[in-house]
Amino acid sequence: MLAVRQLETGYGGTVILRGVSLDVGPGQVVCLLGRNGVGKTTLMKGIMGVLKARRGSVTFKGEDLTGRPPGVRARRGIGYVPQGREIFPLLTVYDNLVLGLEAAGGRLRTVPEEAIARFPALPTLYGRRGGDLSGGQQQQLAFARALASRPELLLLDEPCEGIQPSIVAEIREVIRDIKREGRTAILLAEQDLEFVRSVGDYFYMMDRGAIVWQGEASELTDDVVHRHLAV
Amino acid sequence: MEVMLLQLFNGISLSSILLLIALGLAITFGLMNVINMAHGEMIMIGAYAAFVTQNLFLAALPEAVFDWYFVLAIPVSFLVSFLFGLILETSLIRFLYGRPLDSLLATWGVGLALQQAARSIFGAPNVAVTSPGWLNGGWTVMEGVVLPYKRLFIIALVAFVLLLMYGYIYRTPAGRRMRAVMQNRDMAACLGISTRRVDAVTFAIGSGIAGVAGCALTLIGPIGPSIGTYYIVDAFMVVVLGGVGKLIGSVLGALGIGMANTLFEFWTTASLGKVLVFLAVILFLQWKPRGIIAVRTRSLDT
Repeated sequence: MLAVRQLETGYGGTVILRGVSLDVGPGQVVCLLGRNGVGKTTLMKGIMGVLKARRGSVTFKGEDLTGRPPGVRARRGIGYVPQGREIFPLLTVYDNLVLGLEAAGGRLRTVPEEAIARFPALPTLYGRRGGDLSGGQQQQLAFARALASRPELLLLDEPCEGIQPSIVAEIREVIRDIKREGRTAILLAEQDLEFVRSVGDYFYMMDRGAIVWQGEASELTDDVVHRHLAV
Repeated sequence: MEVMLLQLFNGISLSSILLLIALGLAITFGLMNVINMAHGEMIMIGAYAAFVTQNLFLAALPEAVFDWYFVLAIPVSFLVSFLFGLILETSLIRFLYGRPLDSLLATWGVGLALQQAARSIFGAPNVAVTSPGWLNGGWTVMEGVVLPYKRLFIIALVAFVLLLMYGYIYRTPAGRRMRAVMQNRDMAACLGISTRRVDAVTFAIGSGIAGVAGCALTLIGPIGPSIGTYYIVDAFMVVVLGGVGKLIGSVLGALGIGMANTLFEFWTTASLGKVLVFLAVILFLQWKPRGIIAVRTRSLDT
């Protein structure tokens, strides 16, 4: 469904990604592993279009999106939960959530029940400003915001980073739920090995801006982990 | 007592005019961070739009309806300046986001060009716009205290424009998109918002409000091609003193400067009063560099 081919991108004059290729199939949970600073977030931004591709291509559902801005990609059905969550700080929680509908392009008038139902704490926070929430609450909000437009692919960039354990468990349940329904594929960048093992179908390992290993859960042996993840 | 009331009214009246010319800037500069030196010319365009509306009424319609031209002139001024703002944004400003010095220089040049265009079309001398009959005279509160209808009308107009802006920014989906783009452009784009369209419309609305201000200025005196340059400094001062990013800041900034100006002028002379106001503003900004209303939240600190 999502096909990234030989993607090369970076910030300003610095090239971070050097020819990354990756696939995500419908309903699949694909995990992106790697140490800090190897280019996981850069790849996410490259797929979303926040960073322009210098070379290579990003194709989604057979359509070449390489030169298209992020807004177009969102409307084609890619939802994005960025690292650091990027909640609009001065907007209320409700406003933040409703903005998630923009990608639906008018197809949806209200936030679908299932997007909120997964995070029962959110409705009680509707009147608060996004910037005043805790990290965990912001993560739930960012997640619900991305789900509001019923995306077919969800990009999750380190959703558990700096989040309290109870909410990590909740996020894991949400990912499993989504997987069970099979309507939304997920590309998950995460450092927590135990977490990705519990939800992932297929794994990519990144190092220094390139994919250095890929395989199924059974192939993700201690040896592989030690070689590419140990500090 | 009369003197005090009158000074108070003068202060509020001056504040309302300052606020009207600053409101458009509160959007383009306060929310979008574009230093638009052509803001004064958007005011000028609005003023001339009112002038043209008046002339059209004189030429084409019976005298009986002439008095109502001004009611039409307000939306006309808004629309004309809105269109100019839209053209300016899509043809120039859009390429200069995040480059304050470049946009300052470029918009200054646009301002000069627009002034010259006005001079070529309408002539260099000031032109007069006849106020509608129903705005002549004043409301006699008590003996010695007469509040001119024109001034009262401007105060009401400012309140009306402010109300509409609040409604638009805080109560409509378009306003929500606008605030989202101003707070986090990249994320707004990732949610599917067309940031280009939001930028263009936001800038055009700011320009349109400047046009309304220009329309209102025709009530106060004659208008000329360089009318905008008289007001641009005051407008920036109001927005900076109030604190960028919040409309209420501009309201307080305008009230502060308007009241201080009236009081200082009453106690001293017109020119010394102006100097004292400038000094007070400078001192205040030394003490609070971010203005009266500084936006603060946990997430903006990081």
